[in-house]
Amino acid sequence: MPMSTKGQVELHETLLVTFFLVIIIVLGVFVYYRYFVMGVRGSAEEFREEEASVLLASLTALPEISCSHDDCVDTGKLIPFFHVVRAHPAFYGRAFGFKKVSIRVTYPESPSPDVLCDTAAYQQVFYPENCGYYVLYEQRPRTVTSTFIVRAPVSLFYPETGFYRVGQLEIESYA
Amino acid sequence: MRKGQTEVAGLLVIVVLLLVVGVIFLRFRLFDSGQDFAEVRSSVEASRLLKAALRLKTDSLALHELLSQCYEEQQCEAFREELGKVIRANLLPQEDFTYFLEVDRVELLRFGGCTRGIVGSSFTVREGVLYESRLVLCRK
Repeated sequence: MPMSTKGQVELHETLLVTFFLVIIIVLGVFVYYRYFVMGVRGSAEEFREEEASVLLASLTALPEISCSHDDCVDTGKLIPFFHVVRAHPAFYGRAFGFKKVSIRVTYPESPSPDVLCDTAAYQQVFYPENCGYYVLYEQRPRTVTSTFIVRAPVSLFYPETGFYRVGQLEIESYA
Repeated sequence: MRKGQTEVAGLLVIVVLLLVVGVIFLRFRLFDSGQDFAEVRSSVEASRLLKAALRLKTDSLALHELLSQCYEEQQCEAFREELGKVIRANLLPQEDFTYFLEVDRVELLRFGGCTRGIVGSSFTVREGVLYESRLVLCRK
């Protein structure tokens, strides 16, 4: 076989440089694509979180559950509100989407923190000591791929006694 | 063009390509707006927690009365203890706080374990006295 001429050596060199350049470009495109996809996913998460946070801020101002005299949540309105939501699932489903909205009494801590405050609990003598949380709205998708929770403290007013407690308004968002 | 010049040009192309990749990487790493939003939300949460805590009233306890007692009688221990319990009951296990109370712009009380963090505040006027509460939230 004849020895390589200078032209052939330069051709090999050019091919090698082109090969590495292509590898660098492909790697660059791959990294860019990966971060782009991550960025889009992150934006989607941020958007969902912002949406839940806006809902968190606006929920306590809803006349259906807020106090008429102060910046607080009237617990006397929470159970009727849940019944209204269940009676009009399409309307509230459009407004809230796939979420669970609940309020947990945090201080003074309830002796029954895992008992739902519903009509049955409300009608008992020991209310509000006999229950620990209220559910305002719940709608789950058929399959849940991810959930995250945002929460904010709220002042809970008990019109039966005129007392105030502290609670956490929680929004569990499903995707 | 000489062979040396061609190789320098090739090297420059590679350096430029690496720079472009680096800039794209930094763009995604540094300009993350989610952090600002989380801080704003934490600040609002701290303010809301303060307002809810200071409104607390049960048959055996009214926190605003303990607040007045702290200023008028200089007895802040009961207020400090109760407010600490309320705040801790509403924080995550990995969170800590520092509470500041200023009355007519003079610091009256400070307790908690945070040196810096996200601040929320609440103002109350009772009988002509301005109470300013500040709550700093941080990670343990």
